[in-house]
Amino acid sequence: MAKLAMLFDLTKCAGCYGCVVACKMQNGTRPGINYNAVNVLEWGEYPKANQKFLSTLCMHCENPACVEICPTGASYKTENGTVLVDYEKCIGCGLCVNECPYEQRHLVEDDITSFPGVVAPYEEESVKRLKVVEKCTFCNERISEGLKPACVHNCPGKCRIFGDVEDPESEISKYIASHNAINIEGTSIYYVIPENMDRDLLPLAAVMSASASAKPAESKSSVGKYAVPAGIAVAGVAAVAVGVGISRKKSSKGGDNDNE
Amino acid sequence: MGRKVSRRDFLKGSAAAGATLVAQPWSFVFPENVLAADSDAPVTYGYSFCDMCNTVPKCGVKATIQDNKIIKVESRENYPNSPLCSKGIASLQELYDPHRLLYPMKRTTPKGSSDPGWERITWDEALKTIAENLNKIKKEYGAEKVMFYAGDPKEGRPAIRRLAYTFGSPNYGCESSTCAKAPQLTTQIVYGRPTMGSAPSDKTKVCLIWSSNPAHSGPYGFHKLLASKEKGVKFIVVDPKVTPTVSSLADIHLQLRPGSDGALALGFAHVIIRDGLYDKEFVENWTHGFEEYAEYVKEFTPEKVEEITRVPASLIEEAAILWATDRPSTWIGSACGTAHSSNSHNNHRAIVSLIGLVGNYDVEGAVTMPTESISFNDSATTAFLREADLFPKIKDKRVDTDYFPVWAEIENTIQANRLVEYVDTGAIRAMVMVGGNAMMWPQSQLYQKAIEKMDFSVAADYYIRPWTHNFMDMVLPAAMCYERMAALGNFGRTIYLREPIVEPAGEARSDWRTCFEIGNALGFTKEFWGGGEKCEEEGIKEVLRTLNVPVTIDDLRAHPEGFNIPTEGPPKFKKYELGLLRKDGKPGFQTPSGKMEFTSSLCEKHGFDALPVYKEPLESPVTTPDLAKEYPLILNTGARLPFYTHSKLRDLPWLNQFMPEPVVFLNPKDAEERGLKKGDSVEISTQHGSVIMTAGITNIVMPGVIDVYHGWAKANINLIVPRHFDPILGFPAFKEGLCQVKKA
Repeated sequence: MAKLAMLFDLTKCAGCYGCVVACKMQNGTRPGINYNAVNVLEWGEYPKANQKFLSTLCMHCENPACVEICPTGASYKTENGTVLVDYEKCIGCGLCVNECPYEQRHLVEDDITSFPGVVAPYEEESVKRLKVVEKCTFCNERISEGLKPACVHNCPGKCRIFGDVEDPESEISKYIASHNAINIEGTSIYYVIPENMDRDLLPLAAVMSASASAKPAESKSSVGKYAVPAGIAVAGVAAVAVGVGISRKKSSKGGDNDNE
Repeated sequence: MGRKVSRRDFLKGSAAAGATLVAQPWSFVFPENVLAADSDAPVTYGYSFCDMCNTVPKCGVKATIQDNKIIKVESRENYPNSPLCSKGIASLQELYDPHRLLYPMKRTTPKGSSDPGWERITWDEALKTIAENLNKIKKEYGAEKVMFYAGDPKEGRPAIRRLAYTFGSPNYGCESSTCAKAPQLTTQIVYGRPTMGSAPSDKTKVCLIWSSNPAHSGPYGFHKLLASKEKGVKFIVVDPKVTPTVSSLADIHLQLRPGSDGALALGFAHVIIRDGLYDKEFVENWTHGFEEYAEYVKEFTPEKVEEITRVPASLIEEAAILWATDRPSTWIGSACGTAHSSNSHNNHRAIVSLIGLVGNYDVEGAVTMPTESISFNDSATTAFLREADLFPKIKDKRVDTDYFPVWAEIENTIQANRLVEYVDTGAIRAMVMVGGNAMMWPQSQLYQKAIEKMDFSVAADYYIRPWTHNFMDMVLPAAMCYERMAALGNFGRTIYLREPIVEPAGEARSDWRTCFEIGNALGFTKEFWGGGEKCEEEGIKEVLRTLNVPVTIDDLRAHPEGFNIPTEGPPKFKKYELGLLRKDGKPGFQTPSGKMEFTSSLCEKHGFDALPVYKEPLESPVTTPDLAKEYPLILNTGARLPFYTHSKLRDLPWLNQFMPEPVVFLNPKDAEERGLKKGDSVEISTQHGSVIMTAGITNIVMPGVIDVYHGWAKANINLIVPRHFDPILGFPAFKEGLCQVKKA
């Protein structure tokens, strides 16, 4: 059985936002809704300052809290591991939005388009989605045709890798092994991070290395709300505006690299 | 349309029936093929290339089309420049921006009025008015009084240049006289040929990226640099900022004070010559002025250079030795980073001299020249531009010779940065412009006034841009990349033809057609193929006819994947030994001395320093300490953002979300000293004025330096930069003024 996953190589991401815009185009998302975000991370001071970019999107969890809480069965997990929303069943109650530990679900509340009063050709389908919850689908309509998700296809740094982690011959499986990637436990998301970057900057409480040789996950809260700072999804965009890193809760070991 | 219910009707309905929709959401099945879900129109695909940034050639686009509308765009596979960046994807949003200019407009109020009173006119009226005005000025004052100018995007350049020379004016200029001509002309002065550097190849061991951030200025090529790093290429990156290029690639980061690039390069040379690491064979046989140069760099010890540049001496040593010993090493230059200094040319010359010094010129894996190049010139040909037959007869009437004699001797496009003076002295009385924005010049308000003062001016653009156009007489609607043909996309020996894939919006026309129509209206019927819908294609045919390789438009049409013209043999290197770099076919370089020039014969001839002498910025803590007391921060402007191109793209919601307001970035230390927090509204002031921006606080900016993006109509930083120009080539000092920041 396939298990589709996405990997972000933070050592390569240049924070160009190509993925965010490709996603908006592909999905015709309304103003203020981004299925994915690029968060600016910073640590260290001149002359040893570091900056990296953390991409976030729906983590396509193994046991998705959103699916569990959905009262109508609109949110569901497919056989290939992706988590989808059936808009026909969705009543827009928003329970899943609150439940998602990664804040990656978006209730379409306002009937607005990019340019007020105008439906552009790229929005003609998406304006039908109103009062429903939407989110990253791994570009289900593209991958079902054998294409890569829009954000992967249009990534200038080629730092996003998508594929089946159950297939040891897939590009993503090989990349995970060769680059000592970190899996966000219980999700379909992997990160490769620079050596000098604190893992606590990732959107997680518990991380585990996908490669067997790596050190075991540190014991942190692995249930309920994760150590994702409130507002991480929106902070990605807002933070860009003033170029600061995302805020985060103090890690259990107490970091010195708070980005406030 | 062939649709039973239009989705626009649906939206109108849904807005009205919002309350119902809450309880009964719109029935929608997902996932399905959303593109053709309820439409009778077939889906087709079109291929184009983007024009959203200032890179040439552009990135490939695959468009999904339905009902003559593009509903999606994505990166075109198997195209030389790919993937698309955020700007490329957002081209779709610009295409359907309801604020686009769709019709020719003329002003109805006198110049100087706050409202131009734009009124729609026909193309016929527009062309007739333009022709009458230009011909009147030509008759009364001479054709050279009309300036022709190409801004951004650059695709209109060949057409407007042909128009200028055909009309009889040598005064064609473009926005590269503010930036990219700096590395091009400087390398031409030193080596006889322009280059902006070479990306690493399989043979490359070290890559020196100097004041450039290709992660953001050329995202399509960044994955190739990352791949080179994975293969083991070592990167030295020179930049005042910890850019993504630095944090993803740099093995050695030389974080210098803006404007001190020349000193750093001379420090490299000091170490290399001191340690005998230069290429003695190359220096002895192929260079001019080495002894003077070697003598001059003696004073640039790493310790002294540390003092000037703030780069630690140990890092300078390490980088210089790596550059000199682990060869072949290549260099990637910047179109603006080093250009925007009051010592621009000499700083840049000091940098590019390092290439020859260690024998890295035209060696495989180093900075190379093409072996069998196709004779493209400015995306066209010299014959198409009329540069060979008409320009020589009129060049003595160019306006810039007295100001920039070195430039005028080697470059046929004019240095446009003195437009204010050209207008004030009556040398220029009218302007035809494609693209362009007066915000690009230092103390831009002077340029607004200069444009306003002209007898007549007209621009073609996608939008009415009040900052510039409100001072003009007429604005013409320009067709976007998806709506137009020219110019060609050329990558080495592969050429791409772009066909329009959708109809132009409103009455928009390509810059090529607009220029040809103006030429036709001016009476040059034959030269511009009588104007009309087909003239653009005739122009392309003329370009192809005058290339040095056999290729027709039919060949290009038959090869939408790119028409490749094979080379006769493998690439050759050290072409200076083979007589392939000089026009006369003799060995050597196309310079006055016939050699690579450590001391420039041309600069010397015109009374400038022959050596690449380092001079402090005209405004700096060193040069103007008193000024620095009041304005202690260095104002570094113009570093690239990945989602905006200069003054453009600000109003596209997909991009605007990333920086909706103008931001000034400060180091936390500087912010703390001033009691500033992120998001504070702050005033940036210089001795020339002040603007208000939002504070961004980041460690990636050096202490003592602030980083400001340019081109904000609501907070144009160029209003308050010094109006200093490099004396030799005329580039503006956008990266070295002094300023202060305080809470607004």
